[in-house]
Amino acid sequence: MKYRSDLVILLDILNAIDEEGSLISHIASYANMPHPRVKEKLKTMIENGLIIEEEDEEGRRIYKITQKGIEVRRRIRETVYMLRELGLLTSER
Amino acid sequence: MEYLHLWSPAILIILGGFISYFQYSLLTLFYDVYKETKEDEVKTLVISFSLLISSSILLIIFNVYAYYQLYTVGYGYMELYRRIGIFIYEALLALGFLFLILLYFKEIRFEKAILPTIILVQPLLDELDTPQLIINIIIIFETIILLILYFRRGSKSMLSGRLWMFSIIMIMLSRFVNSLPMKPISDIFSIFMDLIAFISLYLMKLELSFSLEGE
Repeated sequence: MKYRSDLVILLDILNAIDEEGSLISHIASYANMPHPRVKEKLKTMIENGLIIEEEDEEGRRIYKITQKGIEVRRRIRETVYMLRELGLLTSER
Repeated sequence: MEYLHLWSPAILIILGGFISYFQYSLLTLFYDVYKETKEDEVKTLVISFSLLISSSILLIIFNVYAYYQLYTVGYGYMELYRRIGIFIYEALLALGFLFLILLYFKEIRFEKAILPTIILVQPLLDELDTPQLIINIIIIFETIILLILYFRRGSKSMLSGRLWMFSIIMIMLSRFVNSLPMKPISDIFSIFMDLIAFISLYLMKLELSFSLEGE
């Protein structure tokens, strides 16, 4: 299995979450990660104010990206794309 | 030639000022990301750019101090402090580049009396030659690694990326020239090439910033 940088994992998770709200199963499948690890990452993101946790009409937990999260995601993208251009990160996805 | 020697600290101060501006702009981007993510890779980038910005700020400080020495002691001491400034700058630059390369290794997981004072400080200037040559060789090796990384793994999709590649080749050549007895022209040439490299990274940041704005 190819190594994926922690920064790219974080970006993949943030890419999977939108303002409408995303289910953990969708995030895990998009980021290609096991549920417990995604949960761990989501917890840190909630603490940092990048995403919020809510319940939808069916009582399921959904995650929504905050304005701060959108801004941080843009900066992470800039950093990841720059490192990929320089060959310091593998060019995947 | 004497005229160029007297003006070289001023040229280095100006080049150092521009370099530190571009480095600061990149450092703030990486620091903002680190503040929110606390990821080790971004920490390595922050350390790398902190070392790089320290190098250019120290280059400015030492060259300003070199002028102070010119007016208080003499030309020889100006030359000595200019050379010390260059030496510290190059050492920190080499260390900064090393941290950048570590990112990859982490991924795979592994005018007064001119003559009298110059005679006085000549042994000290000679002492600086060998360590500076070693640092130049280290920088040459680092630029070779950065070039290999760019050609083998880089996405090579941006124009600023090609400018980065060109400047890395020029940094490598400038360190060869710097090993020849051509000071201060070789020092100015080296630092000018470093400036081009940081301009290319700054342009890359701007390019990405514009292209990602709508996302």
